[in-house]
Amino acid sequence: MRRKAILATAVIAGGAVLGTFAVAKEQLPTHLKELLELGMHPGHVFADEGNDYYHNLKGPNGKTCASCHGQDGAKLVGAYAKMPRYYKDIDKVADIDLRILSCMTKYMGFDPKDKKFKKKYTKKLRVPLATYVATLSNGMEISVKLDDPQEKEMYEYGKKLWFMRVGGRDFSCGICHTVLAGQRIRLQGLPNPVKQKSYNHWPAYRFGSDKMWTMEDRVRSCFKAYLLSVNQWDPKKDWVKKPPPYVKEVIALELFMKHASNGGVIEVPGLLR
Amino acid sequence: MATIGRAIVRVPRRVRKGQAFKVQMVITHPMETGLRKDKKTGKIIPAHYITKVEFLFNGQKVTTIHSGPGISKNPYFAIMMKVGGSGDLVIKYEDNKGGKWDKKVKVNVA
Repeated sequence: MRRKAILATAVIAGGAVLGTFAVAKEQLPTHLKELLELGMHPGHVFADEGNDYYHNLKGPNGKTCASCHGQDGAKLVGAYAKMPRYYKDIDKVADIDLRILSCMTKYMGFDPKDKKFKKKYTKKLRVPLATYVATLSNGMEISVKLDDPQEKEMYEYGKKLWFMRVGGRDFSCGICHTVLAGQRIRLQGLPNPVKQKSYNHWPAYRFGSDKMWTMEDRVRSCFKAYLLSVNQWDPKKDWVKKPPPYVKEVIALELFMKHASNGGVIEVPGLLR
Repeated sequence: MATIGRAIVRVPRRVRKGQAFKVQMVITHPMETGLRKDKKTGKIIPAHYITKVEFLFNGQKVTTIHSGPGISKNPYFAIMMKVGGSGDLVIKYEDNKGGKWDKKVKVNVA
């Protein structure tokens, strides 16, 4: 027993020194570790599919993603490491999902009011494309800078939201992921975005629900799960519903979390429970 | 939701002659057992799963996997194989609803 305890502390200390991934991996259950060692999981299929869309999906203007950003995403290498950030052409702080959507509507010529396109985008195109663009930055360090005043404002808002106790359960993100971080909820380790740089494996494939999720989906589902949407989104509708996509709150939280993970090495697509 | 039937196959970049190497593949497929019910309508979701995965090297059969509804969604398959020379590895797979796909990769012997 004693030896085990010593080993465990050694591992934890080693993780702290190495900084990032050692701790995160240590908390994984055995079967998940085995899956990671295989080196291949369904998340890679999404990246492959995104590659396909990137080169072959033509908008009404006759442009593909590749015609602006270069073959095999040459000009997008490292772009994901800096997201979310302020973009001049759309005058917004955008995360990867919103950035791709605005690219499609602004430059590729899709109609932003077309409901069919929006549905197709959210259900079919968004996740594979986001995953593909994220994989281009594999091995790079996350470096979100707060140069623009809009980014700073968003960051402050995200920080406020992170520690704000709201919703039907009077919960905040910070309770689990800052105050109780490092402990476990049932079998799952609670990651701390500051210490473990846990943003580095998003977008991730979650084999519990067999879905590929970007951070946008993750945050929106958190809003739903902790009933945070009370009186915030649309009081006429069902209050347990998810917030609408690409709202300020979601992107602000993403910005806060990714800034906290600065320095983490990106490894996508991740694999999570 | 990735497209049904899309797959990726991974083989080592260079393979030695006569030495075993690993072929890994992931297929995106819902793999419905036929026992689940739709939560909204209450009707049973019809079974939809991969029944057969066939590995052919240069037209010669390597192995066949008979799979069933007990396998998870988006399944992962891997085999170990040996080759005598370079060639094409074709993987054919089909499901119980009549879907048939194939995937081709090159195996380079160094």
